[in-house]
Amino acid sequence: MEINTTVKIGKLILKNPVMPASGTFGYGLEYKNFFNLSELGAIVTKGLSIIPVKGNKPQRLIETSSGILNSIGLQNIGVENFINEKLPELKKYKIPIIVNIYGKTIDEYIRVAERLSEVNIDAIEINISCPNVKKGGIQFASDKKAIKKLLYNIKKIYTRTIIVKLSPNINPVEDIAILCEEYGADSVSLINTLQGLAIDIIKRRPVLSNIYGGLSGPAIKPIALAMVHKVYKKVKIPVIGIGGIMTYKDAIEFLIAGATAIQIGSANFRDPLTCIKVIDGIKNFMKLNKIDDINLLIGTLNY
Amino acid sequence: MIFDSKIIYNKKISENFYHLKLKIKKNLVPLPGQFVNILIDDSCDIFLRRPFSIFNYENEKLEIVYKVIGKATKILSSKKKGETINFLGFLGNSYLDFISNNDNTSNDIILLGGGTGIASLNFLCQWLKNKKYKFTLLYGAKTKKEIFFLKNFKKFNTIFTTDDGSYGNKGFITHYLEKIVNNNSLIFACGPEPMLLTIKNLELKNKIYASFESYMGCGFGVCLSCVIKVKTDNNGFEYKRVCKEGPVFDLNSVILEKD
Repeated sequence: MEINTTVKIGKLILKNPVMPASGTFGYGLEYKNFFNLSELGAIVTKGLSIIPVKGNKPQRLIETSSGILNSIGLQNIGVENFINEKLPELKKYKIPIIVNIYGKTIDEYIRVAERLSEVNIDAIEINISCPNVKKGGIQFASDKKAIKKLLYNIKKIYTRTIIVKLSPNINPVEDIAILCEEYGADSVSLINTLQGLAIDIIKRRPVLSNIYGGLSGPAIKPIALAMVHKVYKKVKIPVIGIGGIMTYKDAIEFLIAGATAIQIGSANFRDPLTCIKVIDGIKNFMKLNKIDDINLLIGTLNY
Repeated sequence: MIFDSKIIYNKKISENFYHLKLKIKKNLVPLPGQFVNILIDDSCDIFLRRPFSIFNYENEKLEIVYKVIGKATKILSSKKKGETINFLGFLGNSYLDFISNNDNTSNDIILLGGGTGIASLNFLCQWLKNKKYKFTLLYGAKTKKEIFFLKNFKKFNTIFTTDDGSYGNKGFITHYLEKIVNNNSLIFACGPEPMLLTIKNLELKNKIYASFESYMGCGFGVCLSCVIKVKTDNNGFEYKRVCKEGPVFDLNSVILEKD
């Protein structure tokens, strides 16, 4: 049986709906010894800023029940180093490259987007929601005027696909999604990590040096699914579902809830082959259930 | 590289220590100092893999010695002969990156292993012995009970110390380092951070390379959890990954927590 797994996100055409989540896949090349990166629907890089960022003081990560809590602090090599050192090799895989970007100010976001436009990056995913840095982050995610200004300015200099990554820490998330659609985002991806805390009971101190961290992994999947479904009902632009996907079954739940594509995050740390296994699993599921087009699954929740 | 390897044995060697031996079918050979990242559990209860240094590798058999300290190592200790272990390997750099060919003409290699830190140094001892390098091993443990493979380590030129004097010399191995070190000594260390700090504070002029432990999310360089501070030329520092640029670093380049 011929099956179609192609989905569209803005101007992007993905041969399958599976991509890694930013921050769990480095700059992509770290995984090239595990599998052929060309198999992915797209690559999503670690969040890039205009200048390199050192990140937070350790301890930066701790395992929690069915998940992990992290406060890496957006450590990255900066957009110029990415363009010079990583991009040439990454382009050889001939799959869409989505670069996650963030800044401390609107101007910083714009400068990163401008550089990425110059080197023909297929899509940017704008992180307005990382809870692990003191500036930017949450303030941005809840500031409707700032989001409006950000999108308005980025769209002037970046004409390819723009995805906005949404925070689950701002309620209701669908309000921000509607806003992003209104100001020209091509897609929204959700959810970013949920703010959490882990405590060392002997020292009575937070385990993470940044005090709070972002929770991810299977522990957050039901929350993510609910948010994806709520957003799907409110916007026309495609939704990218993220949150605790470990298997093809999880991915299909997200598609049914309304996601056009999905991202795999924490699972990559546990099993670097997760993305590939999920792609194969989705294809097998479609064949077994005689679904010849993946788009026939999207947003089909019966209730 | 991902391995699925059969357990040859997984046996208790002393109170909380276990010795795991795995059959390696792939045509890959680890180097002393490298580690593996083991998937402990099929359920998501233990979500992350757990890193273990390599105790030895010989004839396609990989050995790990580990201490049961929590839930994950408890589960690992319950695994039986014939079961399969999934792990990532062989990860990180090696002690050998810092040994040159002319080092084997001198007899001045000193190895310091504290507690479970001895595990990765054993592999280095085997390598040095096979290549006919001369070296001295300083092996420190809390008590006699915590010294494992005593016979094995007696084969080398080893000075034993215990904190309570229950075996070998009483006290810390760092004290004995001062006694035997000379200008040409090349030093390798693996042990708890206070031990590394003590070595650093001796302010020796020698080259000292130490293997570090850190909390890892992935083990192959993407999560950026396991970073430590390493000095840069301009009096600053950068974060380097213990799993990728390490685990072996020039001790004097690392800024320790209590420095």
